[in-house]
Amino acid sequence: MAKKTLKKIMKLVVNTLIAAIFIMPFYWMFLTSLKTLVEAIKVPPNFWVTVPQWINYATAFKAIPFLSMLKNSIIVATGIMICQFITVIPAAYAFARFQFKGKHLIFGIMLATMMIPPQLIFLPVFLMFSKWGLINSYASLILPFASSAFGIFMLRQTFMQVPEELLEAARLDHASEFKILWRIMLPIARPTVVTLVLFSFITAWNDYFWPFVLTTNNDVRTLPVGIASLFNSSSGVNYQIVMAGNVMLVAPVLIAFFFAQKQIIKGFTYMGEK
Amino acid sequence: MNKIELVNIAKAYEKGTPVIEHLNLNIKEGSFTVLVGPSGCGKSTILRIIAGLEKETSGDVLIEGKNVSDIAPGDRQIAMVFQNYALYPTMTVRENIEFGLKNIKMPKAERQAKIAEISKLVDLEPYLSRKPHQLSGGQRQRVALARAIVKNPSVFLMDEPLSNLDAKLRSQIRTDLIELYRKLKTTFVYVTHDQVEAMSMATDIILLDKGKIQHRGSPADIYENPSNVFTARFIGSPPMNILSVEAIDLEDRMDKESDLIGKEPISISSIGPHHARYVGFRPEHSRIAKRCPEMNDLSINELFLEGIVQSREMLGDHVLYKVKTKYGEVYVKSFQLNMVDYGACHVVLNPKDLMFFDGNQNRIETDEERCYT
Repeated sequence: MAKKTLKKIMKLVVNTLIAAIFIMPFYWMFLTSLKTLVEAIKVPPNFWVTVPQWINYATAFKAIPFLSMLKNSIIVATGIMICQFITVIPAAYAFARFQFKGKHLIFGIMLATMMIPPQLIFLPVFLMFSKWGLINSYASLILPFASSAFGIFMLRQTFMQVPEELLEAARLDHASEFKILWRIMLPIARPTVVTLVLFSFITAWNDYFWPFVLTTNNDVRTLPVGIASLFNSSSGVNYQIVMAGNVMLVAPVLIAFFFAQKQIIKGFTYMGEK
Repeated sequence: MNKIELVNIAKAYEKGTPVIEHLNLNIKEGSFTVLVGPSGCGKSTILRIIAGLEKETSGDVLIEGKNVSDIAPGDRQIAMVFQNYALYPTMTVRENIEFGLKNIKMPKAERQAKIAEISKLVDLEPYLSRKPHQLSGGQRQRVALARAIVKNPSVFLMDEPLSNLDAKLRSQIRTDLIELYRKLKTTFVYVTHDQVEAMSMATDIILLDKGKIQHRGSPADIYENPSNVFTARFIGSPPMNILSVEAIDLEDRMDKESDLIGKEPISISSIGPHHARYVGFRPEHSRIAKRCPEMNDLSINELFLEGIVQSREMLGDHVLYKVKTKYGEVYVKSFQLNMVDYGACHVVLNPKDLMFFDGNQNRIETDEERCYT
């Protein structure tokens, strides 16, 4: 009995510690966003604030074209999500279920693209896009991510776990290939799809590098680029303002995670399900 | 009239020996045909070729006289029940049944009428809005059946549909299937490895081994007149006892007081055809007796085999003995429930129950047996 209780306490302590490690940066970010500059750079730091400086949010909001950048972020992230939805699902289905010439080679090449860092290819892509006159356009931010090797790989794994008989039953039920994909495969793969959609959305939402190098003005720049520009102030870095911007940047992502966490966990544990 | 004809069908997978070679098979309209055989005999492959889920390497498949080799599975007027039911897991029972009807664009009112009718037939009415994972094995089985019936196919194909159920449910669904067959009056093609399912439901049994038809006939025929050793051993529980005639003859020559004798010693080869190599008898066509007192009870022509009781199982309506004889182990099914003790015993046989097989393990029909059947 005592052993069991001890085990429970240990578990609680370990869990709390792990949770603390992950929550701490968020707490620190939120805390700093409510401090004054003096408080923000004070050593040793305070772990709470007595007078929260909500004004920091307004300052951050006004320092950059926040609303237009938010709009850009939404357009780019949503655009990428939709493009990936259209390209990833049929590709994953084909790789999982059809036999065709060169399938393994194509799949291998596709996986290999995951190993190429964007820093390596941004220059040729930039030159290509500038030739096409696409610099400072939404297309330049969306097109490089219109498909996802990782997504195809993940979804292919899920599709491959669906028993063959289901597809055969559907074929005997007069279902077209599209209908099989839409009505049978996708609902079964739902947790994986939700996870992928979320991941691609978050990756796009948080991406700083690509929107930064492919734009020359604020027309289509996204929020991360804007928030980063808060660092560049003549009077030194106003950490509290940067942090306020960051809170506004990650809030939508956190909310999305909160609502989708069940599906995400399912997406990663699907292997064990029958 | 033949509903389904397979003409010279061969099937081989990439790399590997062919599963089926030169198979000719016809299935009669309105029959309940069971394809039965050990695993790997090609029975499921045949079913899948009929369904169009598997492409034959060569040969023709005819349904109602029409070559369907190039017709898609969905257009063959067939419905199939899979071993694991293959229910669509994300759809409710109703949607599962409805899916095929929606795909052929049946009007909604008609669909609903059909579903109501079918769900009543298979007792699924209270479960229509449930998902498959909320159902028991037997209920899932019924959904799979309903999904097949609702399409009103001209042939039902069933691939071991009972093998995922427990024994009690299996026998219940067996009777349900027989009733269903009588109600629907369509052609059933049923694949199983279980000879009990084959015997109990079929009007026509096709016994397969290694891609070849070993025996084809009605359940009574296949039981009473197995055409070879394989059939004799496959059908019946426990299977037929098969002994090598040569071994008996050999023993006989060495020891004139042979075990397989009546009141007068007779050699097995003297009652069987001269080219017989194997002799068989069914466990239920033999008796077991303790040596001395019952010896006098033997009727004139009966034979007996000396042996030792190795094990005995009381199975309610009968007792099953495993008896070790000089020529091998034999099973005896006795309907006398007072059990014979372990130790020496005699297996008593009537010569007319013996079946003889030649060197190729094919049956040798004797006049006596023809009278018998």
